[in-house]
Amino acid sequence: MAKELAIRTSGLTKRFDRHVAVNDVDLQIQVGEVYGLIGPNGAGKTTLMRMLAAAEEPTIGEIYINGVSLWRGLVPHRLLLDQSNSRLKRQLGYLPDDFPLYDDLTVWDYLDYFARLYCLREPRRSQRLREVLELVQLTHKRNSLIATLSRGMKQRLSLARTIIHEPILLLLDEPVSGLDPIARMQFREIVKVLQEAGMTIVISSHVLSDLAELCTSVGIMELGYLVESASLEQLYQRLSRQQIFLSTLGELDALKIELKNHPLVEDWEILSGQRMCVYFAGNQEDCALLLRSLVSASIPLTEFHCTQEDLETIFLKLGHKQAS
Amino acid sequence: MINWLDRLGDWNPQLMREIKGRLKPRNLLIASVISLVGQFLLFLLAQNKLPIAINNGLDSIQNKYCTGTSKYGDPKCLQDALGNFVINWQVWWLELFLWLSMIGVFALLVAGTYLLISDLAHEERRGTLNFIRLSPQSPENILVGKLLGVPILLYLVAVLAVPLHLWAGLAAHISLIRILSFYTVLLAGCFFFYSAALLFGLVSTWLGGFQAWLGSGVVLILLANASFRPIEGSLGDLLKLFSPSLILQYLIAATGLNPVFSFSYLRVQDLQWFSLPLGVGTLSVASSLLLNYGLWTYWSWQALKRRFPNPGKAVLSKRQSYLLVACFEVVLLGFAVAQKSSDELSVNFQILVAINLLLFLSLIVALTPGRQTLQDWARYRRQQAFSRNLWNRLLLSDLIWGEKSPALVAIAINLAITSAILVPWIVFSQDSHQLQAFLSLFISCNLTLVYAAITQLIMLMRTQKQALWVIGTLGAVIGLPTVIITFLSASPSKIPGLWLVTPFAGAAIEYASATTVFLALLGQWSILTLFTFQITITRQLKKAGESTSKTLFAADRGARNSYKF
Repeated sequence: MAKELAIRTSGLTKRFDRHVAVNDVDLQIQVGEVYGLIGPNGAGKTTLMRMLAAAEEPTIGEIYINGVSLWRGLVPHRLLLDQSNSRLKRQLGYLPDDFPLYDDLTVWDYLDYFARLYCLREPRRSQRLREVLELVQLTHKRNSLIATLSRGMKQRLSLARTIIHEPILLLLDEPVSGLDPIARMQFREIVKVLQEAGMTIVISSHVLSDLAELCTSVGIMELGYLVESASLEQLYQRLSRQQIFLSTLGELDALKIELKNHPLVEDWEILSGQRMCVYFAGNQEDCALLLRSLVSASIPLTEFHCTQEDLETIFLKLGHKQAS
Repeated sequence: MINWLDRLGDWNPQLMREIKGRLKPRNLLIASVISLVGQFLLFLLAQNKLPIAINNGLDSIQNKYCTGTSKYGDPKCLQDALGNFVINWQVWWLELFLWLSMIGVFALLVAGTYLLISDLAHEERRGTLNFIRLSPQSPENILVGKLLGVPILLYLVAVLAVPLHLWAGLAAHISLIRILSFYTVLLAGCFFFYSAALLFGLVSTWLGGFQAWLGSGVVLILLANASFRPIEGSLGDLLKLFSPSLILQYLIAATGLNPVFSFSYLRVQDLQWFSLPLGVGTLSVASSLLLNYGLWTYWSWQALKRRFPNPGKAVLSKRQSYLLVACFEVVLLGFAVAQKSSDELSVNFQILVAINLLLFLSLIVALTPGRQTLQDWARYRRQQAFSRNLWNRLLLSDLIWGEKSPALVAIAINLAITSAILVPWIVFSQDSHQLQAFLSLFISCNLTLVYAAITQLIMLMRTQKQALWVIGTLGAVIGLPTVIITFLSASPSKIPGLWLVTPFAGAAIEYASATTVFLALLGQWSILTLFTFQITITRQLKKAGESTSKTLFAADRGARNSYKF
């Protein structure tokens, strides 16, 4: 049985003047997924996120959140027009790329304020506040004024604010921009915990290594179009080639002759000196066979490292295709 | 205390947030000191006005608080057996009560308006309001929280002054029920002015920090006008009905005294609406004030409920604008015909046309959709229609009721509503200037449509600061002809034809010949047709509605042609 969809959009379009920021996007994200949205600046990621969070009206198109229509055609769905019906809003958590905070409040008061805005009642509210503070590692700062926090702490506090009401769909727009490596790592860990808690998460980011570690699926946006949307596994299968890095103490020509004889070797690149990168079509067992054949051919290998093209290479490759 | 605050926070999180941000010990101390020291200084000032014994001759001492008799000026001062002056303490307390009332009215309304507009501008500038918009709380809940919470320190200052105010009122023999009626009117006034301030704060973000001064400045002028200028039996009386101080005259009358600060010069008893005496007695003034506040507070909240969740939306829907205009015209007409006289048209009609011009300029700004909205409307509207007939029917209904359609038709309907209410007044008036009034109304309606078309044209342009462009252009179109004609010393009687293209056309109509009026109307229609043509057909809307592929193909064809050459 097919998994339930957390987000479904159909023909979603947003125009700013004659510029089409998001163009006819059909997006499907399953419940429980961590979906990475990547693309160059100005590709339409933020606009798409804002429309999914109901912070921006689409020009045309349909959005369904957990099967409930958020927007249809040119008119917003009844749920959004009727402000008293807050069910849909309680399901969404949105962290924009800028995160204005109230400097005059303490960390606890700020989260308490948002918990109340999302109708959390005692004793659940205090319990949730403690949980969230612990998750974002700000328990020791609970009585500090927000103005005194570092950028990383403010970002974590914003995330805490976004998840305070336990949304089932979390939209994070560039959540790690401007953070140092340690803060980024902390952020990744938090997102993993949230995923384990069953939230569907959509993250847009330029840090592709983070996304490769976190995401189950990835969408690539370019000039407002969603040019690719697939699970990370499928993407690697389809677009990522197996690479083997080889280094030898002997002549490269001897190595090349051996490689030419191997049917699964597609191409190679000389990197520097005695080192080369081989593009290989086989699986791990075929790799082992290749290594064995090279050793038996008395090639003095000092390095034999099997790997796959990473997300960044795939992204750059796709971008190259578009430009051509 | 904590339990109480906790329950308050559950009821209205926004109010609790404002309280927590503002009620810090330092702020509490400052507010309390301002209120108490202010009252103490006022008390000392009042004390200072009491008579002081002078050694050489008591007979010469006169003071308004003394009890003796005097033909001219203040009464003479009498002394009791112990040598103390006999003071009419009732008058003294009454004056203290009135000073406190006036300071309270001005401080609460002007400072409160400033605080609210400034707070909203600050939140909007920082982008923090967007998070609140995404929360499931209703706009009413958030805005009531703002309304009660932002001026909380001002409320504290006022509440601390209530005991002295109440004491002064009771000591001046004003009944408690009358003092409470003043408080009720003041509270209703605060609710109206604060609601209007919230609305102004939401729609005036483009003023970049100046809006708080502008808003509170307007309130100050309005209150000063209502507190110091008498009722004139004209349209201006409507503005006076926004001041809570109007009720003070009857509070003074209840004491049977005649203090210096008596407000009798306001002639509140003359206040009339459609021959209904609104100003006779405390009850009728209080209920008129409350009804007036209630009506405009209702409309402010209609706009707030639309605008707060969606800052891109027009302030009012077209449907709401029709009702608002009808409501406004009926209220206005009530004051225009209040004093039945044979020259009511010549006295009031031009003022009414000027007020209507202001109303319609605001409506044009409120209803005219921006470039983006119109582009979306023109581009994607056809996707909803399935047949040509339906398309035409939808177009008409869209122009009348639609959320994103151009505002020109809606403005025309609003003008028709206005005319429908004003024409019977002109027809049944006993004034001899009926024809002039009729033509004046017709010309001003045409001019308003031209202004609406200009605004729509500017909103379709690709400019950065559209609001400033609209204000600048409309200011130039409305003001420049008048300034130039005045500069040329061409009075309406000399060259009436020129005046007919200005908002002051009414002044020139009686001097203009039928041909001149006809030519002026023809000129207005030509300009209107030209602008409408420009908006719909020639480039703007049609171009906006074209599909992107058409533009692409056109660009492609252009490129091929240039390649050929």
